[in-house]
Amino acid sequence: MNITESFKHREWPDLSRKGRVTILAWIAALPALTVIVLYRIIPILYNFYLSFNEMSYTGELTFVGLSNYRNLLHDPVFLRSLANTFALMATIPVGIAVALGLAILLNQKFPGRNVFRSAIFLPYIIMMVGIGVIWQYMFQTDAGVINYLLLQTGLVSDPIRWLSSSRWALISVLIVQVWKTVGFYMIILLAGIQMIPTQVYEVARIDGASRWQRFRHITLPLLRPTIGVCFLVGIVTTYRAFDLIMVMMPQGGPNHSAEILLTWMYKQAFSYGEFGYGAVLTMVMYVVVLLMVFAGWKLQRRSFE
Amino acid sequence: MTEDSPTNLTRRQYAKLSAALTAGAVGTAGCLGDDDDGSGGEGGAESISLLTWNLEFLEDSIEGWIDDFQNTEPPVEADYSDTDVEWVDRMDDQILSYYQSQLQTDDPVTVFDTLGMSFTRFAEEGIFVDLEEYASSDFMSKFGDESLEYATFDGDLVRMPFYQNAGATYINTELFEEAGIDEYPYSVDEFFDTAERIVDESDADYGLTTLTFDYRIWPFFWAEGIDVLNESDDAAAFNTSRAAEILERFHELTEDGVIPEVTWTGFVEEQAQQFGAGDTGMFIAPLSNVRRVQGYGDWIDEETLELTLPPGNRGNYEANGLCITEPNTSEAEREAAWDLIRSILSDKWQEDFLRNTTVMAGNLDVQEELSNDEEFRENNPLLAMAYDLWPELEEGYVMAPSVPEASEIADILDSEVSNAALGEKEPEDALDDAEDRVNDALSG
Repeated sequence: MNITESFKHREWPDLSRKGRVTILAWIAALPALTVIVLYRIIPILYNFYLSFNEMSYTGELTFVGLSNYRNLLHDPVFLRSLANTFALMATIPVGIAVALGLAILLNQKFPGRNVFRSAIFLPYIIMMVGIGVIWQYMFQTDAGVINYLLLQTGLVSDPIRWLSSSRWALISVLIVQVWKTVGFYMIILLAGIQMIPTQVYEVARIDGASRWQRFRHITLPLLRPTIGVCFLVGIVTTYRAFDLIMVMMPQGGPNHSAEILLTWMYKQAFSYGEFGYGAVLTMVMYVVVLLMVFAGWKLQRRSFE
Repeated sequence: MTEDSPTNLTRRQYAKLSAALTAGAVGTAGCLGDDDDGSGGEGGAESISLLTWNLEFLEDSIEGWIDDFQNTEPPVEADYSDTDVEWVDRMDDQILSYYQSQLQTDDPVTVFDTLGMSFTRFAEEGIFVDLEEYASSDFMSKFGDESLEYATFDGDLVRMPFYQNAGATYINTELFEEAGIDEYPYSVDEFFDTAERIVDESDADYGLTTLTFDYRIWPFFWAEGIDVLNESDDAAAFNTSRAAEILERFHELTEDGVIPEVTWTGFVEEQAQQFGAGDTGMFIAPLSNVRRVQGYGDWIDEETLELTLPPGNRGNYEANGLCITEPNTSEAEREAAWDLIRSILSDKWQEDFLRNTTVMAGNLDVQEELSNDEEFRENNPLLAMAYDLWPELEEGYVMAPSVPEASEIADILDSEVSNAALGEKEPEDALDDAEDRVNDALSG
């Protein structure tokens, strides 16, 4: 007799049906919960504890109180990397907006639309290191294809120093990040659009709703859960920018202009052996991610209210 | 962190995420332990491990090292036939996070191939065995005084010289001929002037490119008597008016297109590629880049490429060394580790190493013998050129500061020098900021 049958056969007669289902649900969730506790919760708690300590290479900890947190105030790169992390997160709504436009466009019937869908999705499955190397060439000031196109079309009169000026270095990363993720968002949104019943549009059309009104009052509200999913997945994808920055600008760009919390944390902990301070940066990163997850969760939730 | 692998195998950037994942295990695994002292076998140790850096391509040779060790081939004398040797290779700076993770899980690597100055941070915490208690004077006599000095930290010999390298200047002789330049530059100002002349008087697009990270830009400053740190290694010493002048010249030459921007934004491959393209007069980089630039330029041969001295013949010296981990290793394991090191550094395997790489050997006898081998010279003319230049480089090369913060200081200098060269900061401001940051790093 399996576990479900044993519940059915009243071997736990004192429990209500709801109680039995609850226990069964917990048993089913236990493997996943174990993994989450072991590989997520415990490391986060340990990291929090580590942030109040200095750690030697052999793992001995020395309690230093808030000293590592105070170092944030003296670290000239920290604020910049924090601001850049938010800027990178801001590529999520930008990418979703671009993807939404593309999804609506590619939801129309025209020859070759599947080719366009594939072409736009393709960057998402290419590994970030390869993308970094290719874009590094494309962004070259003198010989890069991007400046060549901009100059040829007359959009700029002087070549842009994409990777060698603090003004443009982060923008270069953001452009690549949007390019990389837009295909994924597009596919998800396309699926979301196709889930919207066509009758709703037909009724709206009969009632005289314009294209914009149909988009504003039907498509957008019904896509909110899908956009929320994109937002949450986007947060995870944002972390892949680590590889991108390390490939395109291993020193974090001129004057650390493209440094993000993740790259700075990595350098502090693993290049300089500052594990305690690295743990502090990780805690800051957790807070940033929690804020973004909360925003994504709220967005998803609003659609069901 | 040093990046010049003995070959052109990798880019540093290719491996960051997996390194971070490896290190992520540190937290959860920190409480795991192993009380086994590792004793066993006639040679005393059940197993030892060897961690190498960017040597995956040498798999056959490394298996040979291990076979010789286990088969009691000279110079090994004890019987290690029952001692397992686990070999792990890690690329680029993955090696540090791997080693750190192993240390913290109480399962440390026994023999660690340390790169550049990264060993100092571990040496400061007493992670490495003082090898002088194992080394006989006969064995030590195979290595140069400088390389042994570089392997010493706080009076302890913490690593054995495995291979070494020093900065040099790669010359595109065709562009020099076109520009009518007969003499190669020596002083810093001569380097700058020559770079300008090459651009003005030949078809070259650029006059000069250089590697910058890990003190590779510092020959320009050492040549002018500007040290990174003061004599007691506790404060920055580079903030001088001459240093500001050099930075100003870097900026002018970059603005004028004499130095390509990629010099300040690239890491290794980008600059090597630039020189390999054949449109740049000079490239300042360690000798180990010979095969790397050759890979990027069909035009490169012993006629078109010349290797000569870096600015003021003050190239940066760097070396890889083999260390033995002290915490959580038994005496039997350390003795076995020492015998494995002796096998690796034996004449037989050092010669094999030289034949398969582009670096200089720690074992000087072998290097000298190979540099006089006519057949080798004929088949490897560029390497022969590097070997010929080495004695001159030895006279002038400078070692990076031997402090635990060496990697962080190198990154700060690289970043601020690039800021000034790219016009992101005024030279004086870049030096002030670098000075503050270096002093902060030193004061912990």
